[in-house]
Amino acid sequence: MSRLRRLKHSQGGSAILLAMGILMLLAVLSGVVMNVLAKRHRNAYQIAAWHDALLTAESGVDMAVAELRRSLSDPTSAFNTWTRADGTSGGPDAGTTFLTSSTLLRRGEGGQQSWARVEVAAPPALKDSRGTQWYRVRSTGYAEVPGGRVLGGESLDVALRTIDFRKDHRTGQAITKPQASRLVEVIVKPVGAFRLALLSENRIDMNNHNIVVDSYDSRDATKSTAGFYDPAKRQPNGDIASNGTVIDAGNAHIYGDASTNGGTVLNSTNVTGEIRDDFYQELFPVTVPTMVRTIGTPTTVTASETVVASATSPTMVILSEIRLSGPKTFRIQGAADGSPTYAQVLVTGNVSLSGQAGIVLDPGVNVRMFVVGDADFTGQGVANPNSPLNFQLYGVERPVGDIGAFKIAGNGGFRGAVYAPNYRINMVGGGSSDSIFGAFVGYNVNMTGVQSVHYDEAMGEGGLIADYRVVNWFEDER
Amino acid sequence: MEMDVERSPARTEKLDMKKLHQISGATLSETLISMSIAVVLIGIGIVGSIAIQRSFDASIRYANSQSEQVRVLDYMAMDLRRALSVSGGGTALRLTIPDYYDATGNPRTPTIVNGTATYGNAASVPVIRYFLEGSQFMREVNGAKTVIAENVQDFRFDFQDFNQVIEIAVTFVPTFRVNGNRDAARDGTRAVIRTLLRNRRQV
Repeated sequence: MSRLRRLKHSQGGSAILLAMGILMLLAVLSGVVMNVLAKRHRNAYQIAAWHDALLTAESGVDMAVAELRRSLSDPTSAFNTWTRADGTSGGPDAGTTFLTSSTLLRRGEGGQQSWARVEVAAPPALKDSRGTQWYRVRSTGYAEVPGGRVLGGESLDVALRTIDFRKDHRTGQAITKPQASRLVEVIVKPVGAFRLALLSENRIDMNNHNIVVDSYDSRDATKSTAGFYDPAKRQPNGDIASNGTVIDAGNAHIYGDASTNGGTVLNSTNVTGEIRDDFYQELFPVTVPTMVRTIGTPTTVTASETVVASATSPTMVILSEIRLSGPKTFRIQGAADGSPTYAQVLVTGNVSLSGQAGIVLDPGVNVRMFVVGDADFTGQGVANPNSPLNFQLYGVERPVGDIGAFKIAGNGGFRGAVYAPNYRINMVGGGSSDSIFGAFVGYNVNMTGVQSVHYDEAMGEGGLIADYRVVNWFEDER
Repeated sequence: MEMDVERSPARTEKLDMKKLHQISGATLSETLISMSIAVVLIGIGIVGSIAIQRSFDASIRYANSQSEQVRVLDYMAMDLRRALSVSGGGTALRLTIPDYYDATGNPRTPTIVNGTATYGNAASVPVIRYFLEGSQFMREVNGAKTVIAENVQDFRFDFQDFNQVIEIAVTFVPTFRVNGNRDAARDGTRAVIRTLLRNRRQV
């Protein structure tokens, strides 16, 4: 009996040992597999967080650019929620003043958050030759990393993707949760109002196949002659575009691209560049400038008048209207030697030129004219012996739905730049050929008759600031 | 059964002996049978464990290769986003980036040169190259090489140039199947990035 018992006990014990051994083996195997899986799992999370951090950093750049653009349309509220290094709030308008903002951008899956810290600086080194300020934006994107304070990847992964577990490696500050961070630096450049030959908010219509739109570059002797248009040096950058869906090119000869906002370019046989449908550029309205009159008269121009432009601060002229007919002129007189002089004219009413009347600029004169009413440049138009950029015509903001009218007609050889996003611009050709030099931005742009628009590529660098564009992008991999 | 043995000792002795004889008599055949079964089971276990181990090993290799693949693509994407110029072929990728870091490794202050925001010397910008060297994937910055992936002798990368957009695809051969169509197996590992060059491309 005792032998039997021993035998039975012996058999029972080995089964348990065997079962335990198998269980231990399975446990070890499971542990190994779990360890491998957990490491891969963590690595996947850490890679995802690292990618999230870049998206967040770029979102921070977008926030900065949005604030800069807001400064064009709504300057009083731009950068209101941002804080300068000295604790005050406002924009980066004082040379080297920096601006920082730390904003929660999103809460991702699993509850992990990401946020950006953005700095906008206006360093003196980023002022161009005309004194226009460019901006340096440094945006650091942060993303929380789930999975605890354990590294998931290999050593080679660490060299690429830095994950902070205890403190921020950029600032040295202690952190409560693991995080990935990436830093993007961009340079933002102000963009002038005259980047294209023709630009409309709604549509562009051309109704004559003899119309020509091309370009030249007054800064480059190979693309112009003595700074002026030369048909033998024609350039293919006479681009036209619309924020609307229709451009009727009328089989005109367009030496450049034709772009719509998801629309169609009709009769595009003679468009030499690309036909695109992915265009959009916000057209900011022009507000009436705050001006203090620097000369007493004239207050209205209905007979020949002369005002003298200034070599330093622009001469400020406020007129209720310009209405000239016959041979009368409104002359903006410059320096005798043709050196640069400046004048700014605000017309609170209409501008009307007919017969042989015209606005005459002396050599070297730069004029910005703001028109509240409508404008009709029939007559001799604008006699501008300088670059088109020397005569800038702005149509100011109007009530919603109230679209103004600018007319440029006759053989005047208009040489200037027009920015009037709330105006229908009607360009009426005369004779067998009529050349217009400049750029035109309007609600609608309509060209009839035989005429040519020659766009000076140098105009892209001038005029009022109409937008901001990222021109340099760099990820600081440290 | 055990309770009966306890209650009737005389019978139990007889029974026990009989049983013991029966047990001892059956031991050889049982042992043979059990050994046969055990041999079969152990054989199955060994074959199975080898298969599992090989599968596990292949899975680990696959995961490692994927990890290396993602790392290579992440490196390339990071450099492509900030590239000024890009050129490439089937076995190498060459690009230049702005001269952002000074000699101490700190960011430079940009300046405007000829209407362009510029870091450092625009005429001498850093050159970055990616290429396979033996079983290693290399990233070379201004001649200084760094290993960014190891054991990647079967890696292959394809380069497609869409002007402002660059597409890179990296593939490898998984070890799940020793035989069979390696190209088909390679195609199954294809990982692709399409990167928009953030800076206006110069070349």
